[in-house]
Amino acid sequence: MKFLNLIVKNAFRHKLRTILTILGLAITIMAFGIVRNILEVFSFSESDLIPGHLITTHKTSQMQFLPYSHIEKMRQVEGVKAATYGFFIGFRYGDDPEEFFMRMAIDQDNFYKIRTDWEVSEEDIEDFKNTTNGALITPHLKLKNGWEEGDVVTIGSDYFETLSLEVEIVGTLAFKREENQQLDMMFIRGDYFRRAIGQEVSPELEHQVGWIELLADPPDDAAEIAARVDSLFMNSDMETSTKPVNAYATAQIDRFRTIITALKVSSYLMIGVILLVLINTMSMVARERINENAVLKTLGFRARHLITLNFGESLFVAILGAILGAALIWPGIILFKALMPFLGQVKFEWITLAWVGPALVIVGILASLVPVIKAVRTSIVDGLRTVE
Amino acid sequence: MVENRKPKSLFVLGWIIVILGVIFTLLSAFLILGKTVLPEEVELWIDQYFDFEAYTLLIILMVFRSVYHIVMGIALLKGQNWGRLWFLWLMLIETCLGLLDPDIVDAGRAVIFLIFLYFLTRPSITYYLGKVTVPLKYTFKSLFSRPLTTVLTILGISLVSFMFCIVLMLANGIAKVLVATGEDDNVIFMEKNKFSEIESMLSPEEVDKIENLGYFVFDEEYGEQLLSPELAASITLPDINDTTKLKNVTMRGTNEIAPRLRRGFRLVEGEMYEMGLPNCIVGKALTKRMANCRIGDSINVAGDYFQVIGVFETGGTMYDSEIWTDIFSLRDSYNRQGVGGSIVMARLEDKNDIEALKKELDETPDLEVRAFIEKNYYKGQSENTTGFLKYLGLFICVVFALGATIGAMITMYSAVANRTNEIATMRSLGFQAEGIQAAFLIESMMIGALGAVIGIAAASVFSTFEIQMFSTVNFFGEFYLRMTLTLLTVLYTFIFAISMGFVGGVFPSIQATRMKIVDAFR
Repeated sequence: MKFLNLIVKNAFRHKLRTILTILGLAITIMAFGIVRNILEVFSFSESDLIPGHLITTHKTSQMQFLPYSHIEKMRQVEGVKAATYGFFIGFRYGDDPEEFFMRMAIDQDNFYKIRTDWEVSEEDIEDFKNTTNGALITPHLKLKNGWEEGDVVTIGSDYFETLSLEVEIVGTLAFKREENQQLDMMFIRGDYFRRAIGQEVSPELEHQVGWIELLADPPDDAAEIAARVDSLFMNSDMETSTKPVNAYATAQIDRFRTIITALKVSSYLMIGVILLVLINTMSMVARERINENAVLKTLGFRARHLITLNFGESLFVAILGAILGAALIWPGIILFKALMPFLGQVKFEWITLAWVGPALVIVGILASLVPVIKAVRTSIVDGLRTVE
Repeated sequence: MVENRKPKSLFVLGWIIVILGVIFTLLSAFLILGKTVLPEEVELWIDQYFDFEAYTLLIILMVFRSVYHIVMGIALLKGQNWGRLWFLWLMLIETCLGLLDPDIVDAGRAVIFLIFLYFLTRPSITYYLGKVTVPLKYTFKSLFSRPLTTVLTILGISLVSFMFCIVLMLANGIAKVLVATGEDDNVIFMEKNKFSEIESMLSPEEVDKIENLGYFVFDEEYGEQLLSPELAASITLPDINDTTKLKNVTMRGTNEIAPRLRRGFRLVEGEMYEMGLPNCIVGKALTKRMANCRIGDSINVAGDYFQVIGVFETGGTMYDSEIWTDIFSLRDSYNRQGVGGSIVMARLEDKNDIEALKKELDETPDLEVRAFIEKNYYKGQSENTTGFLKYLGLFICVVFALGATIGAMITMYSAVANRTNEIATMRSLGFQAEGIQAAFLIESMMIGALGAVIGIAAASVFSTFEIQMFSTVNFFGEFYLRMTLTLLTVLYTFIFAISMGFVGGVFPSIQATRMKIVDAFR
C-alpha cells in the first residue's frame, strides 16, 4: 500500500496515453456489458418455474387441438395432482396493426391450482367463475387501455375470423415474475370460448382444447408421470406429448442458439481487445522504464517491489477503465434500445458487473507480465547502459 | 522552402463539401422528423418510398455522410491536409461501394463521384499528391521498427475485423437462403389477413377460382397449368443428436406439378413420392439434422406413418428444410378434410401480369385471397431475421471498433513521440510537413489493412460452417445456412479496418506536423 502514491503518479506520467487507454478500455467494457445484458434476456432460471408443471400438446404439432375428454382421463393417472387446459385466441385487436395484446382462454375452475406464478385475488376468481363471459386482464393492459372492472369489450380471434366475443372484465391477473409484468394479456373462460367456436365455427371444436397443463406430484417424478400420461393415448389418432415446462423454455432458447453463441464469442473477443490495448500500453511503459528500474534496483528495491509497482499500475489503469466502462453500460443500453426497439426486453442487470470484475483482474495481471519480466530480468548494468 | 500556398480551388472544394454536408444534414433531419414530429402525410410519403430497412439504412448513411462532409469541408477550408487525404479515402469508399453494391447506389453517391472526378483533375489535389514525397519504403520499415506494439495493435484491429466479417457472413448466409428461395415469376395465393402458410386455409372453391384466373403457364407435358395447391403443416421431429428435443418442421403436401415450380428441384436419392400413398421425400438439409429422416424411416403425422422414400434438394433454399408428400395423404392425416390447400402456387406467363392479377383479385368480391410474388414473400420474411442480426451485430461492432481505434491511436502517438528526432531530420532534409503527415497516416492505415487481412483469414475458416437459424417463416421453423464470404464482405471489412486505422492516425499525424524543427531536435 505504501506504493500507492507512486503507482498513481507513474500511471499518469503520460497523461494522454493513460487517458486514451482508460477510454479504450471503458468503451470496450461498455460494449462487453451490453452484450452480457443481452445474453441475460436469453437466460432463464429453473427457480422461476413451478415444480412439477407439465404441458401436454398434440404429438404431431403443437398447433393441433386435443379432445376435451383427455383431461378427465389424465386426472385419473396416478401422480397427476391437477389438470387444466388452455387455448390461444389471438393477438390482433381491432384494425390497427400496432394495437395488439395476447388473449388466452383458461379453465376457470382449475387454473389457479397449477399457475401459482399468477396472482389473482380470491374475489376475482369468484367473479371469474360466476360470470359466463368474464375476463381477467393484466394490470399493464388495464392501465394502457383504461379499462375498468365491469367494462364490456369485444374481441376477435386470429384463427377464427368470424368469431366475435363480448367479454366483461371482472378482475386482474398479475404475473409474479418481474420480467412479465409489462405484458398485455387477457384471459377469458375456456368453456365460454369452446361454446362460441362450437357454435360459430364447427360443432366438434366445442369438445377440443388447445393444450393441457398438469401438475405432477411429487414433482421429482414428473418425467415418469409424463410418460404414464402419454402411454394412455398411445396409438390413438390423438397421441399426446407431455413435457415439463422447462423443456419448452429450453426449446425456446435453443432457437436462438446461433445468436447466443455469436454474442458469447464476441464478448470474449472484446476481452481480447481490452487485453491487447492494455498490454500495448504496459509494454511501452516497460520500454521507457528500463533506466529507471535499474536506478531503483541500485537504491535497494527488490524484485517484489518492482513487481508490485508494475502490476499495481496495470491493475490501476484497468480498474479506472472498468469503473468508467461500468458507468457507461446503463446509458449505453438506453441508447441501444432507442436505436433498436425490437430489443425492448434488454435491461441493466447488476449481475453482469460480476463478469467485468474478474475479467479485468485477469487482464490486469496478464498485461503486467511484460513489464514485470523485463524489470526483473534486466540486470542493473544493462539497465543503466540502455539508451532509448 | 516552398511557401505553403493554398490554391483557390481548395476553398471552392471546401465550401461545396460543407454545403453538401448541410444538405445531407437537412435530409436526415427531414427523414427523422418526418417519422416523428411532422404531419402524417409526410410519414405516409416516406413509407411509400422506403420500407423499414431501406429507411434505417438511409438514415444511417445520411447521418454518417453529413458528419464526415462537414468535418472534411471545415478541414479543407482551414487548409488541413488530413482533410484532403480523408476526402480521397472516402471518395474511394463511396466509389467502390457504388460500383460493387448495387443495393446502395443512389443519386447522392453519383453526385459525389462526379465532384470527385472533377477535382481529381484540379491542380489543388495533384499539387497535394505531388507533395506526398516520403517514400513508402520508409513507412514499411518504420511499421516494424517496434514490432511488439505494432503486432498488438494489428491483432486488436483484426479481432474487430473478424467479428465484423462474421456478422456480414452470417447475414449473407441468411439472405442467400431466404432470398434464393422463391422465383420472381411464381405467384403465391394466400388467404387474406393471414401472414403464414400454416395459418392460411383456402376452400376447394377458392382453389378452383384461382385455377380459372388464366394468367399461368400451360405445361405441354402434363397438359395442365403449372399450378399447385399446397397444404403446409407444422410437425415436430426429434433432433438427431438429442431425441428428446423436438423441433418444428414444415411438411408440405403438393401435387405432381410442385417440383416443376421450383427450378432448382432435384431428387438426390431414392424415388419421388407417389400420389395417394403414405410416403414422402425429405429435404437434404434435414437428413443430417433430424432423426427419422433417412430413406426407409417413417414419420408420424397424427397417428399415420409416412415412409421416407427419397431425398431432394432445391439448391440451398428454404424448401431444403421441408418434408414433401402428396396433398391428399397429408390432408387426411392432418385432419384438414374439406380444405383446398394452405396456398396455391403458380407460374405466371408474364411476370408483369402481377399487378393486373392483384387488381382482378380486388375486384372479385367472393375471393378473399391475396397474391404475391414468391420471391417477395420470402424476402419479406428474411428481413426480420437478417435485420435483427445485422443491426445488433453492426452496432456492437461499431462500439467495439472504437476501442480498437483508440488502441491504434495510442500506438501512433507513441510512434510520433519516438520519432521526434527523425521527423525533425526529415523536415530539415526538405520533406514537407504534408508528406510526413501522409506517411504517418498511411502507416496507421497499413496497420488497419494488416488487421483486416488477419481478421478475414480467420473468418474465412468459418465460411463453410453450417449453422442452424430460426426464421419467422411458418412459426419459427428452422432452417440451415452456410456462412458465406463474398468479395463484397472482404471489401467492407477492409474499408472498416482501414477506417479504424485512419481515424486512429489522424490526431497523432497532425501532432507530427505541428512540431517546430528546432524544438524537435531538442
